Amino acid sequence: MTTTASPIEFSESMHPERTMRSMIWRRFRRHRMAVVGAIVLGALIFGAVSVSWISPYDPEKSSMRERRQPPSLEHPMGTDTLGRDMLTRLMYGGRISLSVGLLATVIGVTIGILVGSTSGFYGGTTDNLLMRITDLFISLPRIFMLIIMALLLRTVDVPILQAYGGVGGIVMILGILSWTGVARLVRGQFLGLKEKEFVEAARSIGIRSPRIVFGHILPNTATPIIVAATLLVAASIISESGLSFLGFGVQPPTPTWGNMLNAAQDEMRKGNWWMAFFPGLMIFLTVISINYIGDGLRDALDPHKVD
Amino acid sequence: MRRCPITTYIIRRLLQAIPLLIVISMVVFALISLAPGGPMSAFEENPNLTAEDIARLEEQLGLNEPIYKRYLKWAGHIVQGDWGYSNATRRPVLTEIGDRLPNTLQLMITAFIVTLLIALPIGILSALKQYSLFDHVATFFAFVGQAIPVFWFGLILIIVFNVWLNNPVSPSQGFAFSNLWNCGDCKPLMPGGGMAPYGVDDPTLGQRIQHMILPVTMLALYGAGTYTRYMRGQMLEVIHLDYIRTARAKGLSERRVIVRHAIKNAITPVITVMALELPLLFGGALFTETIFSWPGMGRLFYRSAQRVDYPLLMGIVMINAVLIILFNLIADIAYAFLDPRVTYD
Repeated sequence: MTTTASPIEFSESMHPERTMRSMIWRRFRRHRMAVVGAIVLGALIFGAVSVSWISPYDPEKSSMRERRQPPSLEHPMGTDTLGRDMLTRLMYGGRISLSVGLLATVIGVTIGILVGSTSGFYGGTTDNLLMRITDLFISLPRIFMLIIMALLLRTVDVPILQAYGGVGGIVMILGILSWTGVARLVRGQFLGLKEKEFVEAARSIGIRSPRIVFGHILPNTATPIIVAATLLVAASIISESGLSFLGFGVQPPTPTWGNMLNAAQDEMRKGNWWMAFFPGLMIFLTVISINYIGDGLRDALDPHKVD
Repeated sequence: MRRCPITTYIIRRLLQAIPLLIVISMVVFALISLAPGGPMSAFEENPNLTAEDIARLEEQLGLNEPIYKRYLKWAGHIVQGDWGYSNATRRPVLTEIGDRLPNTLQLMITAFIVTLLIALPIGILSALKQYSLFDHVATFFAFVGQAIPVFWFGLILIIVFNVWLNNPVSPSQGFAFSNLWNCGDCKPLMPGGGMAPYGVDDPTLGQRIQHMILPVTMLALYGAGTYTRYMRGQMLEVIHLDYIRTARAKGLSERRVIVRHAIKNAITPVITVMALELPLLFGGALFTETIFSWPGMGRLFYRSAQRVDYPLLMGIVMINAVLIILFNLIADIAYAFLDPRVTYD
């Protein structure tokens, strides 16, 4: 046995540094647009986090003398109808828009994993019931339900949901309406994996079901979940901005990219293009970056790909 | 007697759709009941009514009955076509929706056709010339199309084609190319909203088409990106299959191999998915109609949401749910017809 080197040992001796992580990273780097996406997204996140230190302007203080100024050196993205610096407000808006996308995804993915793993692991009646509920959620017309739930939310008197223009509530309803894809995905993976030998082995040495689900099967489904979650962040950001654009999402003065676009609607018909152009550009850059990153991750994490 | 499998399949799918519709209607009803500003809100604000009057009214309207009884009553009315009245206009919900539905369908179907005409040829060409310059450019634009927020795209269309660019024919100086961007008395190149010029009740065909260009462009954007990528993927999958190699090997012309064997098989799932996702265009139409003041169901929903007009909101959601289920069914059946490999069990 020692004399015949297996192909794996052979390649390992050729590239001693090639661990799983370095391999994934290498493959990700090869997807050029994904790397560009990661850099752009990184810059947007940096701007959102650091704005209070790097911007000389207050996001909420209006300045009557500086109303509706086109982009200039002092205001690279112009000013809005109240004379507030657009770039500063966009960076503050990024805080809200990006965290809404992220938190809604966390909720959606958590529900999705719970429903999908229960369904796939236990099968039978449980599976049937949970999948019918999933079907129901899928057939609800999404944007319409979002608006109705946002309207209902306004009447709910829970501080955590109402703070900062209702961000908490928006996160909640986005999460509630976005778990179905992950649930179906996880269920499908579980159906295949639960018959595998390693699950039987785990069971035979007396490990309990919850531990088998979360400790043994779930880690094996990580790849598609990570990709789906990445894309869900982008979808949630679009949903939040769409809702806020229509005026049913996060309420001003808390700035988000969506409600800044809402405020810009009439201005734009007067030719003040920058007020609508830049908020949308931010959404677009974020979404396309995340989509490319998701694409890159899909390639990088694909276990069937050999290089 | 031999049972026709497809008929049984259709019947079974129809039967499966019924419980789903019932559950959706329950969710819809629960949301109505949760909502404040129900049918009593108008009375509660009336200072001439005493608490007893309100209690009597509630009794008359059946509002203090248990929720399941109220649901059954409501569902009975829905089945009989009585969908209640709009709180804002006091007109029947079905009339309000019926007035707008044709306008929305007009927009959606045109956008659907435009999406087909863009996505299918580009996706197919992209796959046939994989990794060519054309493929790279097309894939990039498909990605961009998927990532652009539709509402932002609509605003950009307005500012470029309605605010910035003019109709190059000036009333005073006639046609000049430079009139496009620099002209004192020109009209905008494209109308910025509505279905017809302001004050015109009976627009000409030309005027109708002109008013549709921007909204349809906006509505077709997302699908064009998504389905171009999907078509490309399907086509790539098919052209590497064995039967294509067989077709080539037995000496068919390349053209015949591609058109008769590859495209025919690759296009089926794409069209099915497009049909399946057609109701998603209602969501897109919500934004399109709001931005372009298009008098359809989407704009009706937006206005109703602003007025918190629940009967109308719920009516539109129900219609949407019915359409989604219906389209699902049609797509499944179409798929079963088109793809002989599908079995009906």
